[in-house]
Amino acid sequence: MIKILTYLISIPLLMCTVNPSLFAQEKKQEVETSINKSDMPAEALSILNQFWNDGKKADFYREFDGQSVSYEVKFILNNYLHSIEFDEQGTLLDIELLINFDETSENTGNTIKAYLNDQYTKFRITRIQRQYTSDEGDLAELFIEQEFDDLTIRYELEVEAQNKKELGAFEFLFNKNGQLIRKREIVRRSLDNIW
Amino acid sequence: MKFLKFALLLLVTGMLTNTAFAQEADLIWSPEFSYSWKQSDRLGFSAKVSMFNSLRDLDNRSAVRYMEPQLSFSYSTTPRVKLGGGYYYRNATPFLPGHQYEHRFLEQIGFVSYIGDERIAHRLRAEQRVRSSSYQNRIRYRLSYDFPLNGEQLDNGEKYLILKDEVMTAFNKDAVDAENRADIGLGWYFNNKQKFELALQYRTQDIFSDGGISHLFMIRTSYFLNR
Repeated sequence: MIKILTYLISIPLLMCTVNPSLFAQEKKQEVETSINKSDMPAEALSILNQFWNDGKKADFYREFDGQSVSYEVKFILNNYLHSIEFDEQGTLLDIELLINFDETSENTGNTIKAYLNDQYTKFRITRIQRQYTSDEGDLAELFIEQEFDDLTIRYELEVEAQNKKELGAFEFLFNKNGQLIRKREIVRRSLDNIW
Repeated sequence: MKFLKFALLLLVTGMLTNTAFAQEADLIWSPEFSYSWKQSDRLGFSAKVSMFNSLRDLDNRSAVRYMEPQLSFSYSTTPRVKLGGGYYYRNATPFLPGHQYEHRFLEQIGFVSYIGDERIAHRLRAEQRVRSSSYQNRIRYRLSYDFPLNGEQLDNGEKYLILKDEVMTAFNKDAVDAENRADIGLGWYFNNKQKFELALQYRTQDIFSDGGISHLFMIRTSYFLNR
């Protein structure tokens, strides 16, 4: 009896102590935590009030990328999901709108598709956001007044793609002409618990 | 929405637990350890060991019902579709005289879809079970769904919920039977290399049996490591 109980207890404990070197190989990742509106920087809320009022549903997040903290607010306005990002002090960093691919201009869309066709044998665009930033003017004011010519517009795409060398999900950032600025692999969670 | 899902989970868990104790169903604790690694973007392997321990027989040698080491592989044909196969070895009642074994071969196809960080997975599996006393085929279909409890994406240190349901039929030249397995569980996502799940599984067994349907309740504790 004692032997059986010892066996039952020791197996799970042994499981947890296998190969401790793996525990030290933690990779830094962006951590997003859901927060309350009251946890947002006051400056961010002040800017946010220009777009959004308390009556509308919004989700608030705090993000930490291993080096810096930022805040993000997501809400639907004019039928578009808006994601508005602020730095730790509440300064507006960028505004992103979830759009359909056919809402890009024809030239931009064709250039992006030509790039993806050139790089991959198969691909599927799963998400696209139009991103607005401003190097000089007041981003919130320019955005509300729809002075888009004074804003920097980029497109952030999530794409599932494959070719002979690669297979997976990737995030691409293109400028408004459809030229690639950045590409990075999206590290998805392991499927081992549902496969 | 997440609160509703969590409340539903608690409600279902409570109801199933009551059912199990009221019907004196078989109660099993199954610790599992899984280690997976990717050889390339497409090819992955998984080694797993699991046990079945009867919680009603902890005071005797039949407490350990099964021990199962297993090895499987998967090959991604697209970012969402995987083909795979594997081998299980089951040692039944290892502490009783005359224990029995089973060699199990499996082939499977899986499809996963993503809604943000929520995942819905379909798995179709064929098995050939070569036992010390018989042979059996099994066809299984499982639907799984997991989602983060906090925010849109699952970050290090956060928890997730996982729901599964699997239907299967087992057959050979002499008999055919069917079974359903429903799982609800809570997962702790430590980081992209480690996670832990505590799940409750309810099995409705021997559906076509003349002896009537039997029930099994399993508490599953699973530790997953990835490389």
